[in-house]
Amino acid sequence: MQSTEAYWRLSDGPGNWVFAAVCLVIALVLMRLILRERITLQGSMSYLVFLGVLGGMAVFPDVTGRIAHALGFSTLANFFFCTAIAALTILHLRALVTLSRVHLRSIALTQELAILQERLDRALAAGSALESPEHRV
Amino acid sequence: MRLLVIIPAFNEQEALGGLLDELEALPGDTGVELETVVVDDGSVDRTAEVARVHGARLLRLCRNLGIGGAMQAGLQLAHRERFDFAVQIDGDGQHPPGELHRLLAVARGSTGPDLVVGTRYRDNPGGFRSTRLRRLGSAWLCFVLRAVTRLAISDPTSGFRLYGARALRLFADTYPYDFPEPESLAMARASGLRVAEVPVTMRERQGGRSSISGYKSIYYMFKVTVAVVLAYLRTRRRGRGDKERDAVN
Repeated sequence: MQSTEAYWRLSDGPGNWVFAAVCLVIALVLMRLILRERITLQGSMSYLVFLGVLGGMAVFPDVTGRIAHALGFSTLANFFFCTAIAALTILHLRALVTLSRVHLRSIALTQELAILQERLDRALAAGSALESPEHRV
Repeated sequence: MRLLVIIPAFNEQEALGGLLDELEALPGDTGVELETVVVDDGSVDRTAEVARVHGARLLRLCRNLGIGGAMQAGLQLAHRERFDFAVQIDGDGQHPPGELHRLLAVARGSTGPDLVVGTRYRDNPGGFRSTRLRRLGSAWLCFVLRAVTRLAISDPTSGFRLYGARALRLFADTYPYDFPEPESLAMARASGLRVAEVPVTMRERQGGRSSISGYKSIYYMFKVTVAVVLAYLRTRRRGRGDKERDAVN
């Protein structure tokens, strides 16, 4: 059985570079999508921050371990999963809020379009009625 | 007095023509200027064409919004064009236009309610009643509405209803999108609108299919129950916010 101090020392390794590389690749994919205007920078900022935090945790396990210990986690993995779940929940809620806003806006625009289209059709019909031979002097 | 008949319709080519003919054949009520608008909710059949051929006004939604979104488009039109009343008649032909005078009579009465709901469950011994399961669901919603909003209404899912000016103002701004009838009653109550109901005779749908059947009815009951509570609380909160803003100004 290792002491707590020894446990945290074990996490002083070279860092999980593979995981950091995965975070970097995902961040690069995000940047590429932003450059191609498939997603907006504003909407992606939280993802980039999240990836940065995860990448930092992977590269500096010692610092991560000390933070986890200070927060009362007994294992590093628990801290990692809790952080990831909390961050994903926040990201999902943000996405849900944005999606709902866009959905409501799209309903309002659809209604507005229908009302304006009807008004236009009536105006055009009234205009063509006025131009008909019976109305010409 | 100007009255707009709003007919939300989604793939209702079979029933719509007959319904519009019935509206056309209504006896002229002195002092009532009646207009009809069909809200085509993204239909893929000839609904829009049928409406045009019958000379009704037509709002064509470019995608399907559901009954709530379609109704709100009609209510916005009525509010913007300053109609005194608007009445909802479903495009499936369940609501006989001949019963419209009952709603109007109550709305023009001395108490002048803001929202009149046509009920099929009161004083209606010979008329069409829905299935037992639906009546059970309706009874549950009555209970929820009474418990949450203290509104006693016997047919909360009825879409045959008449909106006065205050109701038009409220619902043109905010109207529930999915299964809107019970939720809109909670909103009306929370906004201090006067709600009345009047017995009417309804009939079976003249065409098309109901959107609520099978497992969807379980989802419907759950969703509507939550929605009624939230709509009541949200509308009350908004009303308090508006009052505070008015006091500051």
